[in-house]
Amino acid sequence: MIEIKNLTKQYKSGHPIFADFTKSVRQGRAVGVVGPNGSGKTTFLRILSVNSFPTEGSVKYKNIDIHKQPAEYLKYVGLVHDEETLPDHLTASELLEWVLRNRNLWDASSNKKIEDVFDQLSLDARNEQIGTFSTGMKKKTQIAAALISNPELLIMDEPLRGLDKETRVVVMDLLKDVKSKNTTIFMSSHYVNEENELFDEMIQFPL
Amino acid sequence: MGVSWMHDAAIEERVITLRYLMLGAAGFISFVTPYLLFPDSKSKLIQLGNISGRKLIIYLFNRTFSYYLYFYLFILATLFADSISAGSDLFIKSAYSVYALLFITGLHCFALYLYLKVGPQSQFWQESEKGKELRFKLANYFKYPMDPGAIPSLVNTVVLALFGMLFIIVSTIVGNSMGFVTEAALSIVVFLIGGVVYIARNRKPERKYYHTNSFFSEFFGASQGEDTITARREVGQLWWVPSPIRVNVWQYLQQIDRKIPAGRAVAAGHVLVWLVAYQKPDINFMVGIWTLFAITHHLFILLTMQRNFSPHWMLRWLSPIKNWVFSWFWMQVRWLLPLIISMNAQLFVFGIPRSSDQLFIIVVYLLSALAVASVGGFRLKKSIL
Repeated sequence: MIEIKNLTKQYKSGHPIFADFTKSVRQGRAVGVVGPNGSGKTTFLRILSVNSFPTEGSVKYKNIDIHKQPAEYLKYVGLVHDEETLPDHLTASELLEWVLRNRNLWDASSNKKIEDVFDQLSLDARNEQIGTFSTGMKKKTQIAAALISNPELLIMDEPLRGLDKETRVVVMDLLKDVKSKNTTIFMSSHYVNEENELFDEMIQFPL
Repeated sequence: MGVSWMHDAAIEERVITLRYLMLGAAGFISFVTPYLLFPDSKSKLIQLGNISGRKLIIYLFNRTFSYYLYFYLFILATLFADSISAGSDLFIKSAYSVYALLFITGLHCFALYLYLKVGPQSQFWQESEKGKELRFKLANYFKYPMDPGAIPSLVNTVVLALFGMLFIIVSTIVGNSMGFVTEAALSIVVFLIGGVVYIARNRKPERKYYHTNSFFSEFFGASQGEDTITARREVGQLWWVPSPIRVNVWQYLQQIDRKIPAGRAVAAGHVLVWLVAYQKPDINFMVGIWTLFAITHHLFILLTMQRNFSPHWMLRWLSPIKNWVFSWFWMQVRWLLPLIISMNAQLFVFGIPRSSDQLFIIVVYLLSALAVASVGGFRLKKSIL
């Protein structure tokens, strides 16, 4: 369960992006975060991923105040950030190895797991350095890194941006599979039609 | 340091030191220039501004000059920092300062000219069948992983270093037989060569810049697959890193070694320190050199703090900030053993630095690593909106 209580964020005093927002989301639900550009979707998802701190209010996951105990919280999280920046000089496979080892999830089957997720996403250049990747390939790598550790909570900002239609379908299938394993999903996107089947509820911005 | 070292030196000693300094500068400029120039993070801005070839030439010169400026300062300190007789031998000192400044400026321009036009040749060797054959031969016969695309740059490095060093040797011989004015005047040749090829005869520098920059952007990001030794490094090999941060350090070492030849850069630093020690300077000066060199190692931390190495969102997602501070700190431990071995070898050969000095240098090394790593942690924390 993730509990958002009286959440307010303002970069300038008197100009809140959203104010006093309260919501609870049960484990295993998929929440679509939709709205026009500049309406606060990214800021909201950044707060959920502890890349931004609220002006007021709190967010709790499993009774952990995520902004007071970020390390405790983030180990449950898979993240697709709004930026496509990734370590340029690692290969995509190495990036996933880094994530798995960091989460203490590395074992004998890990290499195969990495191959499988890249096969599903059709990322053939998995042993190339990420610095050579196109935007779409970086997005695929980010999605793979977010999913590889089987997170309990998935936060994704525009994960389909830059992907071709076939890959978008593959990603949506992966997300449905992840959701069926009781993962909570927060996801913003402009491709609402393709995601209607995934989402259980929507948060419409501006709030 | 130059002042503390040379303040009471005789003019002959100053000139000899100057020649060694110029030898070091020739090696440094030959080796470092391409790494300072390419890939250029401002290239997109330059494209947007569509700046002229003339302005581009000035921009590239200024970009590297900010690093080579220290040679100019060191040259002036070596010649003019005189606590015994500041006004003596002023003509000789001035002649040699002009000699060294013209030489370094000329070599600097020559290096810019050669490295600016290296893109097309490098691309040919990197992407052609001929290059593929060469890569295969190098891998099979010499068991040495090397990209053919790096060969033109390597040739440039050798040409520049040989040209610069041979020039200094020849002009020294000429100076010994024909006098210091002739020796000093010879540097006009280097200055003119550099100036003419880089400024006057450099046709379409913008085209060369875009080509070379795009090549190096691809080259430094390009996969080197199983060809490189870094590709074979395993996490488990880093036994000297505490297990909670081992994988963080591992990914940084992978990235650094792919971005720059870190081992060669550190080895070159050791050679320079030994070159200075060979002059048998004052012991305090030598301790200063070692301390400065020790701190310089931490440029590697600054390198890994760049966003293309360390996206902040990713670092925060994967580990607490304190883990990153310790990761940056431990990453530097790999240079500690070579440092200690080199200092002790020098103690054996030249009698410096003494054990107490070595202890001081090691403490400074560790504390400065921790300080620089803490700056990284602070920046990571500050980047949260």
